[in-house]
Amino acid sequence: MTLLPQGPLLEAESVSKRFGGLRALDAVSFTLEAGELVGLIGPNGSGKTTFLNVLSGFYTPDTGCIRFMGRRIDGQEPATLAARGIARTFQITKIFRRITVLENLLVPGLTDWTIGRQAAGEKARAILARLDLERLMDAPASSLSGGQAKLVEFGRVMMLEPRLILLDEPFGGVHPTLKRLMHDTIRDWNAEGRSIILISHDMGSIFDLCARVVALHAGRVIADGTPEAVRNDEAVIRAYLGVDDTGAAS
Amino acid sequence: MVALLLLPLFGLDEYWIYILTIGFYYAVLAASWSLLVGYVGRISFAHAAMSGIGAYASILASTVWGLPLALSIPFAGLSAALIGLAIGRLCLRLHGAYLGLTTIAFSEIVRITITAEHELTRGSLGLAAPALFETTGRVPYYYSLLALLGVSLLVMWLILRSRIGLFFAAIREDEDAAASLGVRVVRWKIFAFSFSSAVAGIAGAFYAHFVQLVAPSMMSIQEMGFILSMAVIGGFQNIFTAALGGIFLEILLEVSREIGEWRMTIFGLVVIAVLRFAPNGLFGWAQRLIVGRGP
Ligand SMILES: Nc1ncnc2c1ncn2[C@@H]1O[C@H](COP(=O)(O)OP(=O)(O)OP(=O)(O)O)[C@@H](O)[C@H]1O
Ligand SMILES: [Mg+2]
Repeated sequence: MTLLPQGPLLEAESVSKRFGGLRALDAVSFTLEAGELVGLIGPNGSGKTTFLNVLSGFYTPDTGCIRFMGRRIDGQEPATLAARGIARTFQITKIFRRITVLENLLVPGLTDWTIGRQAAGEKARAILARLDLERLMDAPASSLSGGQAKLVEFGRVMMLEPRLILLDEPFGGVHPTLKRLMHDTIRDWNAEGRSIILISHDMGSIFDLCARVVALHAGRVIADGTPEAVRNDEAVIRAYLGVDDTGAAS
Repeated sequence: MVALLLLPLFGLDEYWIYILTIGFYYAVLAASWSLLVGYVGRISFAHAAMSGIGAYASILASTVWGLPLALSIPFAGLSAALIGLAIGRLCLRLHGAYLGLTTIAFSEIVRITITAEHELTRGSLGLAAPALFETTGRVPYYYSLLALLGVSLLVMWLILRSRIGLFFAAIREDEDAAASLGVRVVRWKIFAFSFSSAVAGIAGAFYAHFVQLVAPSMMSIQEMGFILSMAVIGGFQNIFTAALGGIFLEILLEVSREIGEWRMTIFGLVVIAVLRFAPNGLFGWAQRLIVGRGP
């Protein structure tokens, strides 16, 4: 990848986001170095998805700022951020069901007008081969299983060749075989130098993949460190237990 | 299409040539409305208004400014496109019912303004339009409206099979997903709105110079209802079936003239039935039967 400016890839500084009276994010500060793969955990409703929405341009933070590659990005449009190298998936899978699997990948592939259909098609096919979806290429995306749909989201992300990939709960309800493929893919991305923020309730996956874990609770960062350290952190244990009382944690 | 090209040569009578010419006009409107509603998934009830704007723009440009029709008709398209652009900017961030209501409101505002204005548009009396051709024969009009239909279907088809068509499909299904992948959602929605308005405006201008008298009633909600019925009954998921719906319904309107206003009630019921039982429209349904993929 090209030379990065000095400093971290991503820097969120005291980012807050409210919904009415609810503080979904409360002065969150977070730094991601280029090439890092960080797990983002926290009980239900702790603000993980909201943080991803802020990073990918879907929400503008009420206060605080976000820098990506040294430049302010808060308040920019999602499409602009996609073009600048931030790609994401969605907790509730959002594939385009009425077009084919291949066309799903062509959508991001063709947003760059310098790339022709032929080139985008070849790239998409190579990616689908890597994700073991090649034979489903011409199937309507509505015919896919939940796990395959998640893989299509992975494929679309790859089309953008992003520097930063934001994954929101990619393993939910996914068959173990596909999950392994997803793990491998995430590791490959990371080995290619891409930075990744991985939200997951699946602690096994987080432990397998991430060298660093950040925990959110009620919109605040309550722990940031190695998986071991975060798992044994008292604030984290209390946060999860507190939610356990209402039976919401998994 | 070939059959349509040859029809007048086989001595189709003037009356039916007239009806088919009007049918081509409606076909252009139904197809361009479908581009917005069927492909991009955004409702508009302002399509008849856009056609009316084009009609009045072309008439006024030619009579007041003295522009030749070869310029006033493109000017009509441009006017509708710009107004479509402005409305698109204002309200395409709205969804569903809000967007629908806003476009109805806009449509009525335009109609009422033109009705109330007497100096320039002569209110509800209507405005005389210069003729497109010097002859009084209808065959030249038949071919020009048919050509307009052919060209607009071709241009729409080219757009839809380009990457823009893919962006439309993505936007229709999930705006957030599309935006996250780099699709300029707002820009393409505005483009679709503005472009389909331009097509309607040009069609309106052709219509005006064909019938040579336009009144604000061409922007009425009832007129919009016609266009909607045509697209839905033909099949608004596809510009070609929607266009067929336009021609088909215009013919049906003529042959059922005897039952008077009941026609509208019947069309309303047919629209509901089609939406419920054949969402791809009658022509979409027929096409599937023929191709053998079942209804
Ligand atoms: N658009 C919104 N409008 C109102 N409230 C919202 C909105 N989005 C999120 N919230 C609220 O903000 C809080 C944080 O939600 P968020 O989705 O970020 O949690 P999460 O950590 O992703 O939870 P989960 O693990 O269940 O996915 C929750 O209380 C949620 O109800
Ligand atoms: Mg979430």
